[in-house]
Amino acid sequence: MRASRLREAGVAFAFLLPSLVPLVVFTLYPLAYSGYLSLTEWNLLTPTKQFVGLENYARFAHDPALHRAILNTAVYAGAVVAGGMVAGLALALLLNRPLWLRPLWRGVFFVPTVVPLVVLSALWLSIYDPGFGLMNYALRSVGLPAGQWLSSPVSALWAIIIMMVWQTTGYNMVILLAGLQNIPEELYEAARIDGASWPRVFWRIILPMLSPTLLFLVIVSSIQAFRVFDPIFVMSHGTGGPANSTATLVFYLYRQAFMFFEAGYASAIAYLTVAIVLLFSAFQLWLARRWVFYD
Amino acid sequence: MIRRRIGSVAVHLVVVVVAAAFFLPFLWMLLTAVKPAQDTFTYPPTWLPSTWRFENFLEAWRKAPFARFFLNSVVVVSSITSIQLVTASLAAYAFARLRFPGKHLLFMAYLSIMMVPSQVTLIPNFITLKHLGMLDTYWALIVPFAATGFGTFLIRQSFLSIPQELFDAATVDGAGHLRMLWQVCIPLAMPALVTFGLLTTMWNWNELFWPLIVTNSLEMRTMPLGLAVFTHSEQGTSWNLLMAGGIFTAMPIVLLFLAAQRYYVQGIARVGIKG
Repeated sequence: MRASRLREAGVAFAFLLPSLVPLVVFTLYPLAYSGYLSLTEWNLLTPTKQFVGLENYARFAHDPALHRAILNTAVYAGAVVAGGMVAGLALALLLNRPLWLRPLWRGVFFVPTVVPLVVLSALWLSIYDPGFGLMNYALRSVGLPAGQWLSSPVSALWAIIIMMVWQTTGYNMVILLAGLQNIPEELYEAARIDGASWPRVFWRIILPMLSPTLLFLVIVSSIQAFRVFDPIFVMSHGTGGPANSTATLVFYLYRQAFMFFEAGYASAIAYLTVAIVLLFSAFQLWLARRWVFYD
Repeated sequence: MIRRRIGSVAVHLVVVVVAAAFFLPFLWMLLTAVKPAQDTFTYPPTWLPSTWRFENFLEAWRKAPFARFFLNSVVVVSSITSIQLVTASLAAYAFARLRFPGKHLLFMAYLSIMMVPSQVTLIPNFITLKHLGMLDTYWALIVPFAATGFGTFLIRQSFLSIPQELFDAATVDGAGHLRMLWQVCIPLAMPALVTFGLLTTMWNWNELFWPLIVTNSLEMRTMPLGLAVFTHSEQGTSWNLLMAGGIFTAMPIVLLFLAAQRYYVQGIARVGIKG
């Protein structure tokens, strides 16, 4: 009996080894090692690292470019998550009724989710071209003023936000549509018998019943938004500009580590980023106790 | 009745307008890719090319080594997907079917590892690969992704739902654990394996950040990185070639999605995780 137990544990160990080794080497060890790196000053090249204690963290306070990156990330994440959620919910409600060619529409809204972000970024670069792009053409043809989009520090981040809302909407829609279809028909029936108006049905039935799905989407899309990199890199030509207006936290980390070779400071920024994401998720979950309804 | 009819027409109108906003950019991309260069610098912009230049695809394909980028992406992505399917299936079997000390704790560790953001592991992994002499090789693009907490979790769930009788029957036949995994678990967990394989293939195909950091020669770039650099050189000068390059990059993954749409949508609806 004991021998067979031991044999089973041996088999388990052998089965786990191929995944355990890479997880330890490429996730667990680096997690600890970057904690150590964040306490040093090191340019990635020299053999010796200089221990500087918490100096890198103290540097946060006097780095205006970092403050700008935090602000950019907050604006970006807030706008993309809120925009994508509202647009996704609106589309899901629209598609949750008897509709001619419904699978076709659902497919069309979903396409941007499937196309690589790098490709979408290249496409939207051409759309945002101030002279010959579709966006300014569309604005002018309905009598609105044209914009400078990615060339102006005022609008560049918003240009990327608009594209990313467009990109995430389809994903949110698919998940919310699944949530909507799980709402029992009897609830709508009961509301109709009571003569409830549509806004009332929306606030009193649809939103509470969807709230677990919404919470899930808010958390997943915020985590996603906090680590945005691809569209920033492609659409700002790898500069985070104009004038740092599109540099987000992860982009700033990338520049510190691989352009300025500040491995220690970049590691501290990595920890800061993770701390912000964790705090934000915890805050969401705490807030959720007030608005999420589980039946 | 008439009011309802009008309402339905209005809803359809709204859907068509919104769908246009999702569809027209892609139509623009396809049409720009076959325009002559001068057509991309006219105002107002024209939708249809003045002459249809399908040669643009060839020209773009030659202007940057897209054939090489494509090969690199295929090698890297198919390796990661196959390796992850193997390592995750083995680990999933251990967690679903075997008894060993510390099982629960270790499983929690796998799940938490899934949550560790790649920013924190970025610099140390770069250094490790540098010490191993793997920078700017396929190894650097593949090895760090050999294991997957997420895949292990997904496949384990599906192994757990296999009825015990099937294992009992296999035990009577004298099957060992490896045969049990191969002949009982894998065939029955096919839907989960396919879903995971698809998701991971799409994520890895689209990856830009990691190849940007661990490769530096032109020959080692993957499709998205090749396109990103191509974008920096061609935008504002050759929109038509840039759009053609974008089509190369998107095509394999869009085709894969269309072929396996059902699995993909089920997959994200079930696990709802992306990236």
